[in-house]
Amino acid sequence: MLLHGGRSKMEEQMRETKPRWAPRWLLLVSAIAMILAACAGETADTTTAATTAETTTPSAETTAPSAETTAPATDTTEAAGGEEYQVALIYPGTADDLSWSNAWWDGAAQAMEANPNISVESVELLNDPAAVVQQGSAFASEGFDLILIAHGAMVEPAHTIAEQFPDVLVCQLYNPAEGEEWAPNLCFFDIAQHNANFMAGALAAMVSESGHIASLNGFAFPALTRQPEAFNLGARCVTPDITFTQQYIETWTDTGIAKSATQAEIAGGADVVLSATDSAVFGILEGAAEADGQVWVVPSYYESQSLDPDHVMTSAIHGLTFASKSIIEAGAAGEIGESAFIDFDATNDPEIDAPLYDNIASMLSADQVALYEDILAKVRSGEIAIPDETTGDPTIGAEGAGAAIDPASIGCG
Amino acid sequence: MFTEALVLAFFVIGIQLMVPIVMAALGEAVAEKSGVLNVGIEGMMLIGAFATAYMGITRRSAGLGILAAILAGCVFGALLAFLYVNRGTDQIVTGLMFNIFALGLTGTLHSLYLAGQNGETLTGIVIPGIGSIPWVGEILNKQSLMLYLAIALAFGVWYLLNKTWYGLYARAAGERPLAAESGGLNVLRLRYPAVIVASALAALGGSALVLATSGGFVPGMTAGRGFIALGVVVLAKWRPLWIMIYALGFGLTQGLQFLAAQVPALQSVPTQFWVALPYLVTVIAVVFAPGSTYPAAVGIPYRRAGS
Amino acid sequence: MAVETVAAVDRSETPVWVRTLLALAGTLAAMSVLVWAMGANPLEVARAIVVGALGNPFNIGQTVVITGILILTALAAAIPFTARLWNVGGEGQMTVGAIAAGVLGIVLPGTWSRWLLVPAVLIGSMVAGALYGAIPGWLKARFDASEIVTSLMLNFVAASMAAWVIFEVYPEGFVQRTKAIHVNSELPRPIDGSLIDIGIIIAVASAVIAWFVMRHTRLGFSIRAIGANNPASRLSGIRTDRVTVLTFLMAGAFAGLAGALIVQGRDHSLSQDFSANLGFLGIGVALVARLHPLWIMGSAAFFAILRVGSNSLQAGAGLSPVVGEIVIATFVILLMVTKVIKFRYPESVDVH
Repeated sequence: MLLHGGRSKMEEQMRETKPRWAPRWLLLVSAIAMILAACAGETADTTTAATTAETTTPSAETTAPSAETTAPATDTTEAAGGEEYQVALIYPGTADDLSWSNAWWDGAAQAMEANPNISVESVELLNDPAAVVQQGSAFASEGFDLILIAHGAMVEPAHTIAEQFPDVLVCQLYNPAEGEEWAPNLCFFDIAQHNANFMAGALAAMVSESGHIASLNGFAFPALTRQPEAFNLGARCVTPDITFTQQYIETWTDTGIAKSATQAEIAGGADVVLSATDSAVFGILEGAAEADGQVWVVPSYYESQSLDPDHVMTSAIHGLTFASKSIIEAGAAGEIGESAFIDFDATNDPEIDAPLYDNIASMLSADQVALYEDILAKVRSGEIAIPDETTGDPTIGAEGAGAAIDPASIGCG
Repeated sequence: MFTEALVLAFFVIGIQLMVPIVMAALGEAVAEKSGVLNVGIEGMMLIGAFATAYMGITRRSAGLGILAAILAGCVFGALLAFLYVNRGTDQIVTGLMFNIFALGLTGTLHSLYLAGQNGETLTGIVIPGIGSIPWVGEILNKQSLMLYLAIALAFGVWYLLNKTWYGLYARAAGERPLAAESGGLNVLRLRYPAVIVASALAALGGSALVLATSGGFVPGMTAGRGFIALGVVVLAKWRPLWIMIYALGFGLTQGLQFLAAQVPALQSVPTQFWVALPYLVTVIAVVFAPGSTYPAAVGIPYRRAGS
Repeated sequence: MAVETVAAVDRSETPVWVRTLLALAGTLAAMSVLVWAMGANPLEVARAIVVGALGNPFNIGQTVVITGILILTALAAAIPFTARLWNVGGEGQMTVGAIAAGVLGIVLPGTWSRWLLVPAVLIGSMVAGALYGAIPGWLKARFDASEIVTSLMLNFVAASMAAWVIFEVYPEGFVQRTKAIHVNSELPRPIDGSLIDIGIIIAVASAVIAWFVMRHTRLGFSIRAIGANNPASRLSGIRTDRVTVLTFLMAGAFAGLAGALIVQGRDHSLSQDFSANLGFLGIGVALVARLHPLWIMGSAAFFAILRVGSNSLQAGAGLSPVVGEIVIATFVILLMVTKVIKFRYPESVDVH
């Protein structure tokens, strides 16, 4: 019973002989395609990652107004003799992801604007230590002057690159321990990011109506943990008995998980949520937007009010842009010494901030606004001494520290 | 502790998490019933997600995003079908390689065209009447169109597989392709549309993921959901309605992580345990689900006698 | 009664090496188009990849290290695949091996001599990986549970376990990895100034051992027989269940060893995101080598060049390294399309 359009035996045999045609045909097409592509390719510019930044046209609603996101086109295939100071900036995200990496890139862009001899290459989406070693050394061997690694987990790769290329300056995010030694061309830097979280916490305590604030965190290591703990501590500076809950959501980027976690926190009573992750923050914003009541979100690293003015209470600006610009300019000016350690905190990094937006200020009383500004001033002057993760017991980098440390002991109230 | 708000949130989260998996699993059920084991679900979901994000950002339309995902799924599905069916390449390997390919492709396209932007999302739909049912209504009010689409698709796939001629023939192609051929069916022509349907549905699952979170695309955002769909299909023994149930179970198990964080008594259990739990449960369930053997000819490229 | 459909004689008349070149040409063509569309020069890209992988001793060292790891993950895929057991859990088995290496490297006394510590940790990783790999194998043998689903799910479980060890058990403080393993448990680096460690020797030795087992032992014969035709082999006295478990044990051991190589050789600690999909890539390596343990070495070198070289794409040609991933995937798919890689299946499936 032939229901299908029957194939005769001859057709079967013809099908069998098809393979003889196919390979030759494929070979011919491939050859033509290759020749065409090679010819066309030679006339195209060899571009750098700057092309990537240029072809994205961020729509007005999503670009933060105060930040520059376009990078001037740089040509790294020419090693301009001596004059040009070339930097490879390595980070886990992209130059325009409105988060951690974006903040670093903005500093680089500012450095380039202010100093025509500086050129920075954006090396994106690197999370694997081997890839960092390979990429870093690739740039180092192309004659780059500074390899700036804005990724906390790459200490070992930094050592490797520095040892392999003694003439290249390698700077890595890391807080070295007492007595630790490292290569002369390796520089470490640390940024007291949690200072901004402290400020945001103080503001959160004033804004929260339920008296319950929360934090959603990426992974539990001290450099990250200090952020939610400082948030809690800052809130307790204003309201000592504030309720604080937190979750480690074990991801930097999964917006679905972040949204679900936010919904759970809201159900638990929180109405201010700090984002101590990376681009997963967009899930948190979505969760806040879909909530029944008013829920506020505090994104980190980047000026984010324009993402959702009705739900962004403040942005925890960690001063990354300032740090980025400072390090690059110091490197270009030859000011970074041997085995240097550069420490940024609220006292020397003016960018560290948790800005008070107008719509939020209008919700607060004049006294509260004054109190907030007073706290900010004291943090910047050092009068309120927020510990870092190497001092104190428990250190601010330990889970629960924010609840254990007495606010009065650091200068609050 | 277990406040009403928390329990409600638990179910809201569970249902939200299950939608992409349901869609992908439904498609996979169609493919596997016809004899094709498509492991490339993960890649297909990414492609659908990207297409939706692209439309959402450039055209600000969720509807166009959904259509774009279906279209992209069909196009790449045709490519996969060509590989699986026409060329008879090994299905598992092709699927795995397709995942890598799609991950790379969407990542590259994302950094070229979409970086740093977010598009449209679908918010909860309030259905009059149902919305006023206590508890159930509150949970459903938070769910978007995609949930109802998923439910409709489940019924659709059930109907397709069990009540249409195509379903009958396709299942024959999956169980006993030789017998089917000698009975006059064209196994290859039956499997082709099955793979395309599977791909379109998987892409739709990716679309649901984007529309439920932030409207933006994050490289690799499916985070293993495509593989989970594979497990769900086996657990549900390829029955569409059971797929929904098992996917819900998986979603709820995933949601336990967030519930636990709110319960002080459970604070000492490491988060990683909750994260791993859904996968462990799937393994155990697969082991103990009786009679969960694949359609006999699944995974084996069909070659005509004498060819 | 089942008969092999794909006989030893190729249906197509063009020899294998020609078809391999065809697949290569096709891949290059497709990549050229993609690269050109992205505004870069395909020839520059090719040059960047080759230089990035082999241009100087440092880069060669990188490539050699990755080659060693890929050989092992490929073996972890190739051996089960030969029996048509789809082990896609290589990634997870590698992770478990890495966890074992990281933990043992910290816990075992650092005062032991290198000669004792290094093998102890290596063996520990092998055992851990083997046991983890045996889980899907045993579930398949005992319950006929789909090894695809079980091994896949176990990948995620392993990742969670690694996260737990990194962040809760042996955290380092500032960074997303564990404390460093004792110096004496690190793999020795015989060549001054290069990152090459003895891991490559271990990998090559493993490939040779695998080849020997597959070719010249009864176990190897059983594995191949099962892969060719399951029902008949059961009739001929091969104990499928036992062979299944042994196969997965071996695969897990190799993958675990790969994890150890990463921890003891490259990173000197267990760090997050250490695996970079090398487990899955191993599957591609195995396929391109047509599951032959000795050819796997060459295939691994090829993939390593692509992987390491593509990390220089940005410095050399202004492209994201992701392009390299697409190249790899396209190449494998084209190899299958041109039937360079193919599997043997019994024609009749009516026999259960």
